[in-house]
Amino acid sequence: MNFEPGEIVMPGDVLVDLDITPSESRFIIGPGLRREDNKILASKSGILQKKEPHIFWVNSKERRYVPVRGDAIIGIIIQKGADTYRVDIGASEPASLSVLAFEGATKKTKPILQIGDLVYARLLVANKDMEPELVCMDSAGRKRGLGPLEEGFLITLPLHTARRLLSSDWPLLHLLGREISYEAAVGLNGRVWIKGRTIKDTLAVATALETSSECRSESEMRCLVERILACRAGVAQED
Amino acid sequence: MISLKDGTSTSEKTFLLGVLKEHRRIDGRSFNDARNVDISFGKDFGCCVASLGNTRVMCQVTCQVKAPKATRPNEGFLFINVDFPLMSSILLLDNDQLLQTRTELVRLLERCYKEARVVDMESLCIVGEEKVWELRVDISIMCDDGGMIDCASIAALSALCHFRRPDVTLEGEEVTIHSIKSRDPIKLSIHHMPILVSFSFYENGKFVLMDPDQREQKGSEGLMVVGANPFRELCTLHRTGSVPLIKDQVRRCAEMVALRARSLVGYIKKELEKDGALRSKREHAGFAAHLPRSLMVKPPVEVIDVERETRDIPMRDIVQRVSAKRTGNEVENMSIEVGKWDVPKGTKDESDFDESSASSDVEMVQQVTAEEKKTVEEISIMSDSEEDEVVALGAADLGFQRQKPKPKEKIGKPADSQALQELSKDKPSLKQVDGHAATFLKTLGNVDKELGKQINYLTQVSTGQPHEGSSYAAQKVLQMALHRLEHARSRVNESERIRASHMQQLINAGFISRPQSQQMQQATQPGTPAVQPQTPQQQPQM
Repeated sequence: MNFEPGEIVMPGDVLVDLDITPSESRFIIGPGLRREDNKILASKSGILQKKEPHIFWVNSKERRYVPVRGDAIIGIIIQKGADTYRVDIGASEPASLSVLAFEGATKKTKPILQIGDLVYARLLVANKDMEPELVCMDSAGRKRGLGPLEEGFLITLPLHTARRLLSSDWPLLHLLGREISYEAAVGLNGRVWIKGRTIKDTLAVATALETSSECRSESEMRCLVERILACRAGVAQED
Repeated sequence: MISLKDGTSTSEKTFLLGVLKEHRRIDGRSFNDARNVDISFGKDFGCCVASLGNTRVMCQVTCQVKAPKATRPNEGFLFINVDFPLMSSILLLDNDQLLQTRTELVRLLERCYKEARVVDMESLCIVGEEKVWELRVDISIMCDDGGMIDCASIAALSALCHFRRPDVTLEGEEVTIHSIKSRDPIKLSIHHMPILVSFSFYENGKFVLMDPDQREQKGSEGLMVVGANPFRELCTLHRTGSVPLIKDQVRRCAEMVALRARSLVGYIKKELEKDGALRSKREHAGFAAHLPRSLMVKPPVEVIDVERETRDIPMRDIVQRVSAKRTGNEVENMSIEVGKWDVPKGTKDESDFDESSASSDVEMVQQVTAEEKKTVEEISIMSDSEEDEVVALGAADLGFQRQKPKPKEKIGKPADSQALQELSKDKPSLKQVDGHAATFLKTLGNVDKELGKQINYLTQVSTGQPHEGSSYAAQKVLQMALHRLEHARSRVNESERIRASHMQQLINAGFISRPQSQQMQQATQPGTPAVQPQTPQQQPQM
């Protein structure tokens, strides 16, 4: 291994060259890493991560989304066709979403979506040669939380911040949820949909999420949540 | 700037409007707040990175020798170019849009810096009709979070002020261009420093936001870019979208831009001085020196106070004016504010300007030295409360109104005589005559307008309506004094009456002889006929 976990890697860095240092062990490579012949290269700049025994990936900070199969994302309808919607998912090209890819949809009972509506969907097809394709249900035909999102507010976060929101050791959404009741949908394309009871609540959550991208540790994040909740409570008393 | 129909969700739009209706903004600013500006200069002269919130723009000024245009043999060139990578903005979906936005940006900047004659073009001449300097302003947008044009203008202006061109000497026919190392390079001569500021409109112009970020820009119905310099001179006015605006709004925006220009130009000058000091000490200048030493990562941002009180008094005021009928008082107030715009200024030195302008302006300058956000707020409050203004403007504005029509009449005379002169020639040039006639008509119109204003003002004086710059304040003081006098009189009467009743008691007790007291009572009674029924117990209440 030319790099240790925790080190910064740049695109093109060779992590392992099996021709030079033959290794018996298997490597499982995740996002940001790529195999070329007998080499493992970094394709993104970021911090190399390792999970025992042999899983490697690169944790990178970016704002532009590159579609990955199976990601749950939030898209905006930009065009309506006879049997497909075209959806902007924040990637280099828009994705397509079949009208029949909703729970219980048939040719006669189609969901009615307008241009500008939000959908929470999963990427079914994502590769570099084809147009990405979305679905709003799982393989069994149930919606599982996917589907159109109504009202609320949409914010765009850096991708790593959105990913971090979903990880179990980053309880930001839970901490906020103790005081504020709200709904949220986190898309891996960096888009987060929030709907609180009032505009104030939605704003408070949106501000917390946006500012949390600057937090470097969990204690900072807890401090941030406390301050935001205190602000909110302070105003409630004044009212 | 960019009004994107697709790629924006209806949720965002409705939420944005909902927030505006509560008189807030998504990021906690008030309607008239702009985001923080930061500029840093590179190692080379004329290299500058400006940031406005998350928007970042880089600008580099370079120069080269060229042959001048035949029509303007003694003037240099100013060429503005905007480089706009597709990745810099999330809003841009395709190349057409990119080109359109780019052209718009270039045109606006050209209008603000080239056509408003910011740089002295004649000083760029080396040899007339042969060699002039061409200045090239290359602007690259690094990250767009709304307000690209504002940020680009700050970057361009800072870079132009920072730029030095190589020294040139002429020996007969021979031109020597000295390298920067061998001779100190020369600053450009900058006439004035205009800044562009964008505003966005919602709900048919009901809400007006200063310096909208990308989300606000996306959801807006129309945008307006106003350029002004610290001398309150408008340089650019550009509008997109189809929002009907009323005059007052445009005026208010222009007013705010002038204030912002003043504070921003102050900031730019300060940064330029800092950079100059570093350079003269031969210390490290450039972007690396500007970075904080200890921390290479972006420091944690201040948590925005979500529930901050909004202080958008002037804008709300305008909204009320749209809906409600205008009172004479407000109209008068506005007309005075407008009048300030065309104050004839001989010199363009800032210190001179401050002395020559009305007393209210001096107050504003003091506030500008304070914090930027505070300034906007304080000034808006000041221009809003009419009673304060009566005292502040007072005589200065009166004098100013009387002076104003005079220079315009002076300008008017040559225009019409020129037109007649042209006509009396053997071969009159129709174009020139038309031009002179138009100027004359314009002047006449101006005179007419001023006269109307003057008459309006005089009617208000004669009918005793309250208005700025009149004896209204004095009248009020007089009225107060009268009230006080009335009050004092009643108090005196009261005490007189009590004295009399005490006297009566004493007489009843037999301490004083009767005839004297009767005389006293007769003396006091005619003065206090109304107060008499009152009893002495009521006295403490007075």
